[in-house]
Amino acid sequence: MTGNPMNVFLAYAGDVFGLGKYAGAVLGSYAVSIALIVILVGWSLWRSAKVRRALAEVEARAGGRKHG
Amino acid sequence: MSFWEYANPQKFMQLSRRVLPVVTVASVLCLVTGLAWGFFGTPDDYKQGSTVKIIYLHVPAAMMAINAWVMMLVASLVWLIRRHHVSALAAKAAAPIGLTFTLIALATGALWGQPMWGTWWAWDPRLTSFLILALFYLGYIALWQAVDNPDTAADLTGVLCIVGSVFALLSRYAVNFWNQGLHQGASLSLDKKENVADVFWFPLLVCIAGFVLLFLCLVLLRTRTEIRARRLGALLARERMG
Repeated sequence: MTGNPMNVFLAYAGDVFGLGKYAGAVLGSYAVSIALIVILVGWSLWRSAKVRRALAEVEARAGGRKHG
Repeated sequence: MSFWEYANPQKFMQLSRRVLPVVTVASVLCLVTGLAWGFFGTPDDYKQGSTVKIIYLHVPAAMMAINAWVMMLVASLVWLIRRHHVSALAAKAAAPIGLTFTLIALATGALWGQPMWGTWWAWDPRLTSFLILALFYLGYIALWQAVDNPDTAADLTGVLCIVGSVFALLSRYAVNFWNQGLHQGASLSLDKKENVADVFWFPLLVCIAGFVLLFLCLVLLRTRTEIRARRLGALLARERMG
């Protein structure tokens, strides 16, 4: 178990969180899921801000009313 | 007030602006509470050890992967029958969320399966139908991007959504249909004997509520963006025409 930093980390995390030999599977699942959700939320917010900004510019040019 | 009034983009934007902050706060609260409760506050399973903690991500994500497709199906049918643009845009907005939940279900399933079954993957009916569902999500998103005319794109993706519903249903009922494969039966059931033990059940319910609210929050946010993007496209087209 020693030597490989990942194994050292998993052994440590397994002890701290009481996950034992399955620390890799459990922590891996939480890490992958949280990463995917953060990417989805970040991308959604980024695109929302981008479209809102572009629409505000075009509406200002057109002198139209605001939307939402 | 009729439900169909919210098919009006202006009405939808007004309502969603009020609802979105509440749903966002509720979803964060449920997710943090449920995941922390499940991770720190529940014991190991007598058979599966600490891997049982994966259930708090795997089951809600898998449920919402299927339910997102069902929501897209309903929205697509509304578009195809009643031609309400907001419903087509809501279906488009939901697809990347459903894909993300499907990927979470597949990834956590593989990570759970390796120590329990001795393999990351098996061509089991439920796993295979879930993989096909992920491919349908990708195809649905790609089709929206590939067609320039938004109404034509909504028509074509609506039909694809109806076809893909077969696999969404199979993902849910594959175990019952074929009664074979590595994957266990449903973790949640109205039959108390089939259900997981209460100690896992209550935090799982909170996590499911969190995933449902997260889905709702992201669908509202993304539908608002799609409505704005559609208006932006229309204004730019008007500008180009002089």
